[in-house]
Amino acid sequence: MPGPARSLGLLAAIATAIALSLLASRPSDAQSGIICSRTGGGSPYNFQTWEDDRNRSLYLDALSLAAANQLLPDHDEFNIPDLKVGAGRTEDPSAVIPAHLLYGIAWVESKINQTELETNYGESGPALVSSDCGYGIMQITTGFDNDNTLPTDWETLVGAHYAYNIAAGARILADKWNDALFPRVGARDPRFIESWYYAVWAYNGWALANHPAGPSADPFRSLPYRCDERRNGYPYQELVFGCIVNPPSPEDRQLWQAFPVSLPDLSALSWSGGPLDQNQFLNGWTEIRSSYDSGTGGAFASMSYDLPVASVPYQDSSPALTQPEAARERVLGAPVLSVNEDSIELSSVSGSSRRGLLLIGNSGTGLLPWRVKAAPSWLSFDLHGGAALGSDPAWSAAQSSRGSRLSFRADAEGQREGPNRGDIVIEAMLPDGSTETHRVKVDLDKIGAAFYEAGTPES
Amino acid sequence: MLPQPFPSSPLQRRRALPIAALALAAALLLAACGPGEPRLLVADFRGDATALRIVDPLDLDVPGEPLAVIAHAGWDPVGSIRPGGRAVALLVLPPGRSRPATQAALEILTPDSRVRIADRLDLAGGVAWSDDARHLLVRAAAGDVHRLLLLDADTGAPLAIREGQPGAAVFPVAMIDGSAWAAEIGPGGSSLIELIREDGMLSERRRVQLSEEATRDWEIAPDASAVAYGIQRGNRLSVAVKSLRGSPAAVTARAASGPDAEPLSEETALPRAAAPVWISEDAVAVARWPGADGFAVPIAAHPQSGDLAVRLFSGPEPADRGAESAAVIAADGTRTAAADPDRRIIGWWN
Repeated sequence: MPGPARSLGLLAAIATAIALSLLASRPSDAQSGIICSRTGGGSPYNFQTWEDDRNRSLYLDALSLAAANQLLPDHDEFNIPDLKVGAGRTEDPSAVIPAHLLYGIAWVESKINQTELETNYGESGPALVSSDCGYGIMQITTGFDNDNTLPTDWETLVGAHYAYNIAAGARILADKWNDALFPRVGARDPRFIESWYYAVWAYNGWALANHPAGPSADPFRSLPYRCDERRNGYPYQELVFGCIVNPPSPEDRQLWQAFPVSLPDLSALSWSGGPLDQNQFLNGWTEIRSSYDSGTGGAFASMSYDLPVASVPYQDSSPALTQPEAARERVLGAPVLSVNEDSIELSSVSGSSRRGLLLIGNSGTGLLPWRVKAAPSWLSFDLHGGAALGSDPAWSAAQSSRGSRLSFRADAEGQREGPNRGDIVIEAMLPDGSTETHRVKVDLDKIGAAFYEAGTPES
Repeated sequence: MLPQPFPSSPLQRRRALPIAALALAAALLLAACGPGEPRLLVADFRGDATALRIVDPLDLDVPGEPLAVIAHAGWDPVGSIRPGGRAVALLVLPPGRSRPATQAALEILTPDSRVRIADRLDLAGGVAWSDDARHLLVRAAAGDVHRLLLLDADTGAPLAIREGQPGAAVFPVAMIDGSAWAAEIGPGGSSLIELIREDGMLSERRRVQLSEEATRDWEIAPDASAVAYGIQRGNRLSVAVKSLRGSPAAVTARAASGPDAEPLSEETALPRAAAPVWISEDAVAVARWPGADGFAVPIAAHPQSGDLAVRLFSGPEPADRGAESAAVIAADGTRTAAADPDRRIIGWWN
């Protein structure tokens, strides 16, 4: 091999080794050593949050409200954009997401859990974070920048509060629906769950892995999918649709009412050149790449197909929507921030560290999402944010009024001797979109070798 | 040696399953169980965990000897038996993970140990052993880009990589005599590519066009003389065999094919029908008709006896598949099926 080419080969080998070391690691447990290589490059944030009861009562209420854009309709970052409807893709403010779609997605993503699965139902614990840095019930990755800095308010809300996590997932699904890239089903009528086939596919990834006739799909799979069965061989959208038709029944209690959904007829649609032919998908990508390169944009229009004849328009009869204000109150509450300290004094001999503790409480109701907004560089925290439980009447005494414990460590190494001062700024995010902050003054008095050994200055 | 310590499943804590006791019993049982009559490795899927067991292929209804219990997030582990048997490479998706295409972990399971050697792989991509059992081929997928990785089978250390082509999917198939074989599916159809290790990369040495259509379920003969594969045209499946050099040796076609045993020539496609096919050494498709009803899809042929482990379906054809069960079809056509519909065959244990 000639010199330059050899050098390039070696460079490639080095780059490859780095890439390989990221790809193949030896984690000691499910979460340790996670690097969010596609969303910031750092470690995931540590949020503490709360897990609903095993029936997911509040979660299902929140999913219904989010689907109907009645969860956070006035919040610019968490409301649902107007859905584009019909052949003309006209924005329709009255159009909503079928709630069962969100039920199915939430189950497939996380079995509808906001915390790590070690956490008991009805108790607080670390937020669920997957090995590719998806957060919470809807496994949100988009929008996170895990860059080893303090989290934004949006990141904290999505990681630490189930309602915002669900709202973020609903918004992503709505964005997929509205994206002109993806093909159309029928007349693009969102009342039919079948119309969402491509949007649900795209929620998980617009990839060949989810093609119903692709090499990752089992051609002999049983349809429709039953939600408690093994998932191997099913494209993502078939898992979601299957969970709508055959809902999960953990502990032998069915979580929601079944709703009939038709799957596309592969024998009628996946003939060579048909809308669900694999080559249409692969060739479509090629065309779209070239059209984007030429600045003309592109879409997968050739994959569009008509609605199945058996399609039934969706209607949400969930109790949450009969009294949405009451349901919203249950889900979001009226939290009020309280912090047990206004100032903390620490002292440290040279090179050692000191620990401190703040109790962040909620004297109102519902969950209070909070974050560490700012802090001196010599402080490190065991949590980046969390959710403090209020005193809801529906919760047991053990659950109620349970605040968050924010432990921190002052590292004197590298700091000047004598007093070092800074503020910890705790920010709480409230349901009306406003924020409340609490500032805690921290004094670190570093007592080092110079202090002890200098003695009386010589004159 | 007792099983390696392994992170306990969160769901185990909730349900308090006696996993440790089961694992210990498995180790003790298997320590007394040496090579002998052919055995199958099967997976019994349950809600939160899959039990791996070693069973007698002549009686698939007995529970069998427990090997391990794998907690999961709804996805069954995907396994590949090590050449020579008595060990399996498993791609697993542990609880708390939801993306099979990027979050699967690779574990090596033997009667004595269970060791996780790599992470962030693609569950659906499968895993392939090298014929000398020293290496593993796996796929890592990140969105639209797929990479093929060659790993050290003992340590999981990555040894070489092939970056996927834009818009194409690459799947591991086999590693024979130092060559890695992979299938690539892209806008131009499907190819089989032969790759060799070079400066940390898997460099392409040879490319064989398989079809203008997408293909699946590739199986290479042990001497790399032929490849059998399925072609999926929409909802229609067929099986093809292609000679790679000289006279093709025995190879198992892993797709359903016709009950009419016909000699196969290069690129011959059998019509979709209802019997498994084992391509014999003289390239004759030997169909094993499973009975009056139903059809079967091969999983693996036993290297000595040629007995076929299959997925057996009660329906008349793939579009109307009926109930599925794990089954073995012997060379004389004798069929043994499991009654438990959640039992699945991973492969021949020995």
